[in-house]
Amino acid sequence: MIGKAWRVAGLLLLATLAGAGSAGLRLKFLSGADDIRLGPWRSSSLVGSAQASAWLRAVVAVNGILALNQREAIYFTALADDDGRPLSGACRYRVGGHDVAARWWSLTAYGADRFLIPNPGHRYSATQNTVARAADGSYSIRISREPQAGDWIASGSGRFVLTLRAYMPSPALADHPEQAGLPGIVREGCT
Amino acid sequence: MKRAATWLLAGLLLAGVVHEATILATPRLLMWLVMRRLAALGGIGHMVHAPRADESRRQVVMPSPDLLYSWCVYDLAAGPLRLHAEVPANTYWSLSAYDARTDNFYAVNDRDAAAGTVEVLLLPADDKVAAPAVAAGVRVLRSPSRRGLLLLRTLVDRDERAAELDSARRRASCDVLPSAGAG
Repeated sequence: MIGKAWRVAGLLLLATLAGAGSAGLRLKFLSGADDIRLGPWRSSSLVGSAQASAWLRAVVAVNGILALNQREAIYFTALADDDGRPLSGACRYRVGGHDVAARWWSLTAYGADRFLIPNPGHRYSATQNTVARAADGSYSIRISREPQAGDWIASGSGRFVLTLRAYMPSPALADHPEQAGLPGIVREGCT
Repeated sequence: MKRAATWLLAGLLLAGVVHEATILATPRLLMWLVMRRLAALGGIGHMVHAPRADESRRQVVMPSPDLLYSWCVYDLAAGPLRLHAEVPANTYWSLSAYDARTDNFYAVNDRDAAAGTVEVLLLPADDKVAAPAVAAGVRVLRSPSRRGLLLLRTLVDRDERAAELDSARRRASCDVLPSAGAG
């Protein structure tokens, strides 16, 4: 016969684990934070918004702690290419398009751990002021494990993500980020 | 049968309470962790200027390699906080204030701050600490929480400006003012 004290302790432990675990899983997988979707790009209208409830505050804390509010910057993140295949250091990509309607933008690659990807040349990002332009003003950035000529960002060898930051977005972009003209992410080949 | 149902109900109820409590505690917990990591690099109540981010920077996820970050972790128990910062010309710059629940309760950027400098006096939210007389142009803010973080971002839009922008942002300061005393 198990004593009543043990049963109560067991119940407490189980209920605590179930409660905290379900909250963690809900925040991680069911947050609804990626409510803006444009091709492979995802963004959240919640980051930097007036965090009206405990739930939204927790979602923002998990998804964008210390992020700028949307008047200052909008963040778009891609985990996949234009065809929906996960971004991988085993492949080569070309990210190209026109400037987003903002004061300044940057494109940065992060590892699966969301930190910068080690590479000898410190090629972590490409920015509005540094990319080469075609006659029509468009740019084309290569992303791969091995260095390439021109605008190139190191991908490392594993999974990675791309973040496009649009600083001081135009009012049109801030009001309708779902209509932003974002660059395509084309997979060129894999090894 | 009835007893088993009682146990199940008690367990579900308790799990529900813990679930809500976890969501409520998450922002404070994450912010506490971030502030602890940042304070470990330079303490509380003064400005810390991080080197430009590279792969070795692992305090906060997704650092931008194109920004220079400076911060001041504060605890207003020690007294009001004064921040002075130089606003660089022709590049994006901003000051953002975050409270202990991660709320971004204030932000100012280089275009808002046309004067070339930003002066902030940060006070606790409670009205017991009266706002002292301040010079014109000083932004008097009330922090919703006793502890929090002021974060300065300076965009290095081209490498030629890196040294100039780095020395400009290093002229920013953050000081705890002696408490004015009760009364």
